[in-house]
Amino acid sequence: MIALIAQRIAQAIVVLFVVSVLAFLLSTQIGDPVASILGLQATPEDRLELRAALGLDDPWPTRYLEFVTNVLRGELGVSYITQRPVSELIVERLPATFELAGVALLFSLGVGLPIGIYAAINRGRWSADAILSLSVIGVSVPTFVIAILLIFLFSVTLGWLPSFGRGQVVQVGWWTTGLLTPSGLKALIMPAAALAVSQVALVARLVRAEMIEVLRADYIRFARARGLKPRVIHLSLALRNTLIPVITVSGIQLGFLFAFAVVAEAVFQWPGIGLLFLQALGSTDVPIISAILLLTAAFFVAINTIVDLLYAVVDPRLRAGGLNGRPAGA
Amino acid sequence: MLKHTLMGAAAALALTAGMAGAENLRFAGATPALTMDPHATNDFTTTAIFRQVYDSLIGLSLDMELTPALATEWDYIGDNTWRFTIREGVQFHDGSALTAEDVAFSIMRQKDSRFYRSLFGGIQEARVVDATTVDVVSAGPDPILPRKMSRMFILSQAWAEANDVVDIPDLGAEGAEAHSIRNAMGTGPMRLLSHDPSVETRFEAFADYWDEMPGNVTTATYLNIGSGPTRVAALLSGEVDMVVDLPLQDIGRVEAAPGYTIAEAPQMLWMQLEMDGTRDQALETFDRAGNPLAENPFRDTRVRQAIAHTVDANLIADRVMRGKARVVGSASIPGFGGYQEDLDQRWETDLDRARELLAEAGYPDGFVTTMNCPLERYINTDDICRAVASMLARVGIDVRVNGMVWPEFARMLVNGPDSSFHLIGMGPDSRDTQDSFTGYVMTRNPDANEGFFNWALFSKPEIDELTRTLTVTFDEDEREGLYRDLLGRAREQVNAVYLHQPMIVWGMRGGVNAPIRSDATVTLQNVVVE
Amino acid sequence: MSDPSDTRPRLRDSDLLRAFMDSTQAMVAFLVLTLLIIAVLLAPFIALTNPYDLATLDLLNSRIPPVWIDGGEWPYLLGTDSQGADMISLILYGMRTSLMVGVLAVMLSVTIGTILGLISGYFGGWAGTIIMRAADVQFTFPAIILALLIGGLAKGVLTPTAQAQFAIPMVVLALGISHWPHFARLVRGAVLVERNKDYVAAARLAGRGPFTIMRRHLLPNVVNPIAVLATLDIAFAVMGEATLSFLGFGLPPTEPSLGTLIRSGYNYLFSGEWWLVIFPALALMVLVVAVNLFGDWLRDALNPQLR
Repeated sequence: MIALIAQRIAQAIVVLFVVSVLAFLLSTQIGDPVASILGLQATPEDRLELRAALGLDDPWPTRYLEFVTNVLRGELGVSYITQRPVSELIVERLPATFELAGVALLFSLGVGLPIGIYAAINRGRWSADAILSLSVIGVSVPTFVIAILLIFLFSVTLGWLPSFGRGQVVQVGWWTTGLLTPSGLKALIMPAAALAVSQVALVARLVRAEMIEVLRADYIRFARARGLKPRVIHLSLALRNTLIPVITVSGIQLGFLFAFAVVAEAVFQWPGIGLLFLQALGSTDVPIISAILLLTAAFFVAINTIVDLLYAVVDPRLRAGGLNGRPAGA
Repeated sequence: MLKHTLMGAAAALALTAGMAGAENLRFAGATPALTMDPHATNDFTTTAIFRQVYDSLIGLSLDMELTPALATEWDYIGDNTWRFTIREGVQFHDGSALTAEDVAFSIMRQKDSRFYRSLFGGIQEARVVDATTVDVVSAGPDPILPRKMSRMFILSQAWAEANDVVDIPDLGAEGAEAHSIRNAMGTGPMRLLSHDPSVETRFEAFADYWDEMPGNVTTATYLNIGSGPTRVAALLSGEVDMVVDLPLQDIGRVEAAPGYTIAEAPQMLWMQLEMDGTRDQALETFDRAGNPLAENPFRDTRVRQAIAHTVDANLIADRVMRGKARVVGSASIPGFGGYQEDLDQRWETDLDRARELLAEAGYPDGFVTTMNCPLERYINTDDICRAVASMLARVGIDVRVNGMVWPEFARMLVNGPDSSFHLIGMGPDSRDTQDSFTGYVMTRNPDANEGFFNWALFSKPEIDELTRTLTVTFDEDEREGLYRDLLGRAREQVNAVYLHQPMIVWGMRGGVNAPIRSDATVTLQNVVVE
Repeated sequence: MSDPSDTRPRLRDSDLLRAFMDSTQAMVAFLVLTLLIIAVLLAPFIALTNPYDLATLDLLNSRIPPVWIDGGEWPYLLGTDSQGADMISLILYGMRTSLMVGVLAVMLSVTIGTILGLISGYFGGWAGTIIMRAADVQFTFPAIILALLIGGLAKGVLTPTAQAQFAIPMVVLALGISHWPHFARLVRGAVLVERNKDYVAAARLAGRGPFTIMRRHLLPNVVNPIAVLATLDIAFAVMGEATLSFLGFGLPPTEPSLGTLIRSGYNYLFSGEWWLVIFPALALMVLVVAVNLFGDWLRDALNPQLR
C-alpha cells in the first residue's frame, strides 16, 4: 500500500516536471510580447530595452530555472498587460470558476443520476429509449450554442436572468462568493446550466450503462431469486456499486468542466480563470499563460492521483499494482 | 488590504447612494481599461476612462475644439517655447491645491513615457516660471503643441512621491503592484473609487471640481463586456444604462426598443488601405501562375490609382457599416487642423478605368496578393476586408484576406513592417493634418522622427520637403497653402486608398442623456440621468 | 478455414447487418449522414455562391433574410450573409470543411494511438512505459486546452501567411494530438489481454514476426472498439473545431467551417438577423447528432455483452 502511494506520488512529480517544461517552452513560443505591450509607438531602442528588462534574451535553461524557483516561491510573475501580479489575478478569479464548475457538477449529477437510473431500470420502455436519444442530443450541442440560446430566451426575451457577470459577490476571507446574494445566485444559473447540459447527458448515459452491467451480475440475480423487492435491489445493491465508477468519473468530469468553463466564461463574461486564459492567449500575456497551464496541470495531476489512490483503497485487486479493474463483488 | 477597504467602501457607497436617491450610471464597453496610470498607456479606451479622473492641461469641448482647462492661456514666446498660464483654485481629489510644480512634474513624467514618445518626445524642459506659469521648451519649433497638450494629463506630484510612483511603473517588475495602477490622484470631475481592470471601474463625483458639472451623475461604474451580443443584451435587459460600443447590427433593435436612444459622432480616425511604396519586390504577391512578381506592383502609381477606382467606399459605408460611416476623400477629416473641405473628394468608382490602368502598368490579367486585416480593434474590419477583396476580384486582383488579432498585427508592423498590403485605422494623436503627414506620409526615418507610422512605406521626396516646411511655418495663411498642396499631392499619388470615417455609436436607455464626443469619451460630468 | 481466435463480426453473417436493419435509430442516422455527405460532395455543383471565389459575391445581396420572411428573395432560400454569400452554399462548404477536419483529426488520432498502443502493449519495456507516461501527461490536460495551446503556438511560430495557408492542417493537428491517448490506451489494453493467449504464443513459436502477429491477430481484435471510439470521436472533433473556431483559435473566417460561421453569425443573433447563426448551428447539431446516434448504435451492436 505504501509502495503504491509512493509510486503514484513519484509519477505525479515526473508528470508535473514534464508539464512544467512543456508549459514553459510553449509559452515562450507564443508571439512577441514586446510589440503587444508597447504598441505601435515603440522605437527600436525601447523594444531592446524592454526585452532586456523582461529577460527575454537570456538562455532558456536560465529562464526556466528562474521560472520554476519563482513558481515554488508563489511568485508567478506580473501580467504584461495589466501589470498586476499573476498570483493575485488567479486568486481573484479562481472562486468564480470553482463556483461555476461546482454548481454545474451538482446540476449534472442531480439531473443525470435520476435519469440514468430510470433509464436503466426501465430499459426497453419507450420512455427510457427516448431519454437515451435525447441525451445524445444533449451531448451533441456545443456548450457555446446552448449558452447563446439560454441568453436569448431567459435574458433578452424573458428578462428573468442576467446575461453577464457574477452579480453581487460577498468577500469571505480571500474567497469571493456569489452564493450568498440573490443576484449572485441568479447569475450562476445560466452559465452552470449551459455547462451542465452536456454533462447531464454523459452522466445519465454512464449511470445507465453501469447500472445495466451491474443489474446483470450474478449477485443481483441471486438477490432476486431470494425474493428481495426490486426497489431494494435497485437502490441499495445495484446503485452502490454503480456509484463508485460514477463518482470517480465525476471527479474527472469536474476537471473537464473547468475546461469547458472556458467557453461558458467567454460567452457570459464570467470573470474566472477560463476567461483570463483566453484573454491572455489573445494578447500574448506570457506570464498568465504559463501560470495557468502549470496550475491546470497540477490540479489535474492531483485529481488523477487521488482518484487512482481511491480506486486502490476500494479495490483490493489493485493494491498489488495491477491493471485498473472494476469492483464486482457485493 | 487597500483593495478590501475600497471594495467595502464601494459597497457601502453603493448602498448609501441607493438610499439617498443619488444618480448612478452604469455604462459598458467592449475593451477593459487597463490601468489608471495616465502615463503608462495610450490605449484608446483606457484613456477615455481615466479622463474622468485626470484632467488634461488643455481641454476639449464636445466639438473637439481646444478649450482652457488646467491651463487658461497659452502663447508661443519664441525660442521653441510655449508659455502656459495655470488656472488658480484647482483642487486635487484629496483637497490639495494644484500648483505649477505639479504641472511641470507631470509634463516631464509623461514625456518620458514610452507611449508618448511621438507626441511629447520633443519636449526638453518644463520650467516653473512662477506660481501660475509654466514654460515648455521643445527641441524644435512646435506649432501644434497646444493641440497635443489635450493629451497631457496632470497628476499630483506629492501623491506620486508619497506612493513611490514618481517613475512610470516598470513592466515586468517583481514585487508589489505599483500604486498608480489602481489608484488615482487627479483633478478631474470624478474621483476613482475602485478599479478592477477586467471587471469594472467605479467613480464618484468630485464636489470641488473647478469647472461646472451640468450633469447629475453622482456615482458611475464602467463595465467591460467583451462580447457584442452580451453587451446589447445587458443594455436591453436594464443591467446597464448605457453601452459605448454598440455593434452596428444592433442599432435598429435598440432604437426600436421603447425609450431607448442612440447617439452617434464621427470617430477621429479613418480606415484606409495601405500599399507597399518602397520594396523592389512586394511581399506575398504573385502572378496568376503562382510565380512571385519580379516587380512590386504597388509602387506603380497607376496600380494604386486602379485600386482606388475599384474599391467602392460608398457601398462599403452603406452595406458593411450600415450607413454609420462618412466616406473620406483626402488624408484628413473634419475637425482636424488643416482640413480642406473642397479637397475631400474621393476617387470615382470606375472599374473600366481601373482595368485600363492595370493594363497600362503591365498587369492586364491582374495579380494575386495577400491583404493583412486587423480584427477587433476597429469596427467591422472583417467584413470591410472581405468586401474589398470581392471588389478587387472583379478587376483581376485576387486578394487573400489574412485576418489577425491586434497584437499580431501590431507585431507584424512594428517588427518590419512586414506587410505590403493592409487595412488600418489612421488617426494622428494630435488631430492635426500636419501630423498625418509627419507621422504617416513622410518617408520612413524613425531616427529623425519622420514617417514613424508610415507602415505603407510610401515615399515621395517632394511631399517630404513640403512637410518639413510645414513643421516650421507659423503663419496661418502660409500653412493653409501648404496643407492644400500636400493634401492634393497625396491624393493624386494615392498615398493610401482612403475608405471611411466610422461613427461611434452609443446606446442608452430612456432617461439617460449623455452627450457624445468624437474621442469616444463619456464626459460623466455632462451626463444627465433621470 | 475460420480462425477460432478471430472474433470479428462478419457482415456476411449478417448479425451486424440484421441489427442494423432492426434499429430505426441506426438507419435514420445513417441515412441522414449519407444525404449530408452527398450534398457536401456536390457542393461545387449545386451551390449558388462559392465563398472561395470572391467574384461570385455581391455586397448588394448582403443580409437578405430567408425566403419565407418579408424581404426574402428567391433563390436565396435561407438568406444571405453580410458579404452576399448564400446561406445554403455557406453551410454546404462549411460542413465540408468541418467534416474534413473532423475525419482527418480522428484518422490522425487513430493512427498515432494505434501504433503507440501496439508498441506499448506488445513490446512493453521502457518504450512502452514512456508511451504510457506520455499518455498520462497528456491526460492531465483537457483536450480543449491542449488544442487551444497548439493553436496559439501555431500563431506564434508561423508567419501570418503561413498561418492562413496551414490553418486547416493546424486545427487537424491540434485536435488529432489531443485525442491519441484514448486510442493508445484502448489498443494497449486489448493487446495486453490478447498477447498472453495461446494462439499468440503459438504464432510466435511458429516464427511469425511481431509485426505480422500485430497485423494478423491483434489488430483485428481491436478493430471493433476502435471503430466505435473513432465514430464517436468524429463527433467530438467536429464540435472541437466549432469550439476552437468560435473562440478564435481555429479556422479564420476566410476558411468557412460550421464553427467560423457560428462565430461570425453570433454577433447578429440579437439584431434580428438570426439566420446567420441559427442555420449553421442547426446544421452542426444535425451532423453531430447523426454521427453520435450511429456511433452509439455501433457500440451497442458490436458489444456482445450488451445484446
